[in-house]
Amino acid sequence: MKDEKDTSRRDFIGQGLLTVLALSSCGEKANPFHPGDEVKPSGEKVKLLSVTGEIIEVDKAYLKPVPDVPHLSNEEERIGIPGKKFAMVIDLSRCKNLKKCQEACNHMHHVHPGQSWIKVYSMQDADHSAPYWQPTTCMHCDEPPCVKVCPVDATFKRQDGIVLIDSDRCVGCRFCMAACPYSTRVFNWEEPKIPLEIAQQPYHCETSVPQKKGTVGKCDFCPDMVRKGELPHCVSSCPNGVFFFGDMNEDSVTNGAETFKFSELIKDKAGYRLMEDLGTKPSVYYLPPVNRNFPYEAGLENEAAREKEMTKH
Amino acid sequence: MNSTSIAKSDKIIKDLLPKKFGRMGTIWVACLLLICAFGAYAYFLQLKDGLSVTAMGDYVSWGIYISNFVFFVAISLVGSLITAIFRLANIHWSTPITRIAEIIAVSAIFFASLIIIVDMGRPERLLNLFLHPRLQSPIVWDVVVIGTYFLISLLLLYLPLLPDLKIMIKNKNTEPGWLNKLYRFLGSFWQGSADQKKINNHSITILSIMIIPVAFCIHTVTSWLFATTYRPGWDSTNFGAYFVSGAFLVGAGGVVTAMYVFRKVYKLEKYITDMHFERMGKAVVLLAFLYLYFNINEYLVPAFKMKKPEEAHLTELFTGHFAPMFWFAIIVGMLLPIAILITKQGRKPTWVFAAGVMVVVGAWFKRYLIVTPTLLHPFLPMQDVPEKFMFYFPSWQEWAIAMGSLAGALLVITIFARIFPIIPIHETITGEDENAEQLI
Amino acid sequence: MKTLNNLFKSYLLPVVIFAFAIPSWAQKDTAEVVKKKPFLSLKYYNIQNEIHYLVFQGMLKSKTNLEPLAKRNLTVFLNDETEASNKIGSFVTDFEGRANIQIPVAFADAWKQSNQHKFIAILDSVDEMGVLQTETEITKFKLLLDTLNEEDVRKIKISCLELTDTLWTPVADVEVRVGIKRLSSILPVGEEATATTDSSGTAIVDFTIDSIPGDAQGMIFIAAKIEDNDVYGNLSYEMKVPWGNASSYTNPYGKRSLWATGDKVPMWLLTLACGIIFSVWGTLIYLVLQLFKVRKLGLKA
Repeated sequence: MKDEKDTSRRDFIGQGLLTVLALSSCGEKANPFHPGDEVKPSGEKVKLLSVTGEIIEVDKAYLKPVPDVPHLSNEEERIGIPGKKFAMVIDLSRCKNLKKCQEACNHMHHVHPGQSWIKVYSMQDADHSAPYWQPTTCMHCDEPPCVKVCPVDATFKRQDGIVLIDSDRCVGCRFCMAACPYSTRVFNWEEPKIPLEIAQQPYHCETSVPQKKGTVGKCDFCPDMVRKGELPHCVSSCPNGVFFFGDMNEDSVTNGAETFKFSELIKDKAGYRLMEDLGTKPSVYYLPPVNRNFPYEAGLENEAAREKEMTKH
Repeated sequence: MNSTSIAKSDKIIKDLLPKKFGRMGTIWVACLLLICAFGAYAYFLQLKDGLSVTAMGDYVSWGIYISNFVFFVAISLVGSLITAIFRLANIHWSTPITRIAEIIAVSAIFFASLIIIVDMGRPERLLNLFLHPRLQSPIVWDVVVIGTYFLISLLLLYLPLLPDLKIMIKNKNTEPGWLNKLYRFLGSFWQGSADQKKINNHSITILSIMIIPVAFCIHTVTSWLFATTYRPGWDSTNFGAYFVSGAFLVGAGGVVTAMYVFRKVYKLEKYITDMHFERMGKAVVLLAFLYLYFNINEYLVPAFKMKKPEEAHLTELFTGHFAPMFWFAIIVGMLLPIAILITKQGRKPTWVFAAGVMVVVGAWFKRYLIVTPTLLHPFLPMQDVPEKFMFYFPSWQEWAIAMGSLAGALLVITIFARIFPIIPIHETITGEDENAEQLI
Repeated sequence: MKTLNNLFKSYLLPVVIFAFAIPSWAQKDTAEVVKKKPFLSLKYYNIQNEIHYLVFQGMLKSKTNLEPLAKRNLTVFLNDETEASNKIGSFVTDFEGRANIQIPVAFADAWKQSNQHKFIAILDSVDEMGVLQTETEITKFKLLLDTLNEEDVRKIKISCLELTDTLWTPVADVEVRVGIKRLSSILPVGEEATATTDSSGTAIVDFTIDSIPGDAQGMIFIAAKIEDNDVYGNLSYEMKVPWGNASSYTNPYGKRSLWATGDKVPMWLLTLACGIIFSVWGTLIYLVLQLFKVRKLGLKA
């Protein structure tokens, strides 16, 4: 809807520009780090030493690296980041079944040991088609079947495209798990085995930490990382750059090292979505496993090596 | 009324007043209480440790709690069948069994709600369902229709009970004091006057009309808990009709079972006669054929196409891991009862009872087959998960709780029969009078 | 003698061999003790030629995993760690082993004194590894962007200058990543993601992307980034240009749909459900009231 939101953005940018121009002579800066960023000034000013040796005053909210931002309210977490539509592109020709993505995600979200939000499947579409490894996250569908069936609004679709779970609202009916065709949701059947200090933290939808007994959990596209301007943990932990993440409104996705124009990437490499004909409209695109960097068998070796590690301990 | 009919009505009253539990009755109640207590203990463990005490996992996220729920909702439809549909069709031979049907309905729907709460991961957050409801969710629809159906069934149990309460208040000498107080509380205002009767009968008629669409809704909406998903075995347009027809069948089976037991235990052969079994037997045959028809549609048509996700699921049902249970449910639940009840000999009370038990047992396994096998055939392969998630057999806690809920339902029915006359006394008397008048 | 010999051969020899084997097993165990190597980095960041800060990262690297040096005390010095007056500050690393260091205002004069500075970070001793130290040297640098429009081809000009005495002199052979600023990344606009400055300290990159969404006015930010340069650290610069398409972004949030929140029920569902519920429950309430009427009739009589 091109309405109040756009005008307010326009106003802010205009205001920001004017502020930068007007105040460039003075010590005060609007947002010297990212002149267009819409971070709200906190009002608290900090004195800094500039590169040129001058003393300047900057609003605390604009400091880089981003200091720990105060947590958002539940309402704000339900609405999401304005102006964005997150998407992920997973390049199947690069996946070697290392499962570093799974490790990082499970570790950072303190998922109950044994369960994973990212599953790497060994896929073979038909008897004569090539086997490949497919890392599967939540698809953050645009018409999410899980959200349709939730009776208490515990899972919801935000304006930035992310489908999130509120573990404080969830009643544990597991209808969303039955409804999801991608089998991406996991349930906390018992008290999650996590360190005490993590379990005692206040809960926030955007971090999905700590997980709670009797509620559902799933990949959340790490909105807390994205707000800081960083990439989700799976994206940054993959050594082969399999995961690309970005904003469809910017038409750009990155895996940390490489950045591509999203529309071109999908067009050139014939990107597709899983179970397209179910009409869920997923936000995760896959690039087919052609011109592979590693043979499928390399993934089997990795699996065997992992199992050996497990039995050793 | 002349003196013979007063004597006759006294005899009817004497026969139909609730009787104290004999030795069998006490043992029966004690066993049920024991099973309920064990189930309660298992639930306490579940509250303490979470749903990990069950054998459910991330794939089979719905297990026998849900199949029990579906079973209870199914059986509760009998109330609308016997009480409402027969009443509206002016069928009078079913009058003796209307109360049996209603108490089965009320008890079943009550335990359906309980078992759903048991299945929740966070039962203490039940209020969220009323504070933050989403009208788009089939669960919310289910809660609404179940609540509605419960109230209608309760009223259909209570309103026809009022004339009988008057009789029981008059006959207070046989009952302990607190029971008499209960009767007076519930029905002392009933005088049997003409205007009271007019309003009451009018209400019962309205309820009978209303309960039929609500009953259809209740099991259709329950079927939509499955049919609104994409999964093989659930993604079927047939589900509403399939479930409702199955519900009528299992409800009828439940009623014939209950009416045989009550007849035997309370020596009600004069009131629940061979004719009743003959007719109910025919009803069960008809419903079994109907359900068989829907089953054929439900399984044969996808089997003809064998679409990829359904292929594995159907093969499992027909010839695979679930085949014994599947064919048991079909044969014992539908085919054998049909074979028995289609013959005149087979419609004798004991045979009808056997067929009824077979229908009910077969139906329980059928509901299990609707819920679990589908969940074991997700679209994406079952990989990268703990081993125990890849199969399902209920744990002892689940069995205890499920059996506890079934025992609880039976307990409610038993205690009801102890407190209230299981056959409507007043309607039997007025029925007899009508018969006598017709003869004159 | 013979029996003793036999005894030795049959019993003692195996035992002796066994006894010699034990130390080698024990050694195998101790050899398995994971060797951890400390991995420290101190990085200098310069944003928009205005704001600068340092980021310290400490890890312990073993063959199998990476362990952050969390909750450790860190002291940072400017140029010389022996002088207490050079102490920039004391910090504590977070759970990821990272610490953000701002240079205090009090160091303004010390900063202006020279064009080259060294930062030293010292991690307090906690375990057998002792005191860990790392440092980084930087030279004052300026990164600038400008736009050119030659023969209807849009170009981006990157300028790299370093401060020698009081003059800004161009620097050659600096690798700069340049493109359009995107979420946590820079989208390349030419064939290459990076450009290297020539002898005049500039590099020119063709803006060959023909269609890229910008904001509502079609503005985009071009960004240049120098990453982990040995001499100059990490620099970044951004500039706003009107080279994007005006975005036609429509927010789907807040519309009535089956997957919206409970307050955004589709109208058809709302009317249908409310219609059914009100009519049924209305009747039920009427019937309950009728029951009370019956009760009143009975009590009156």
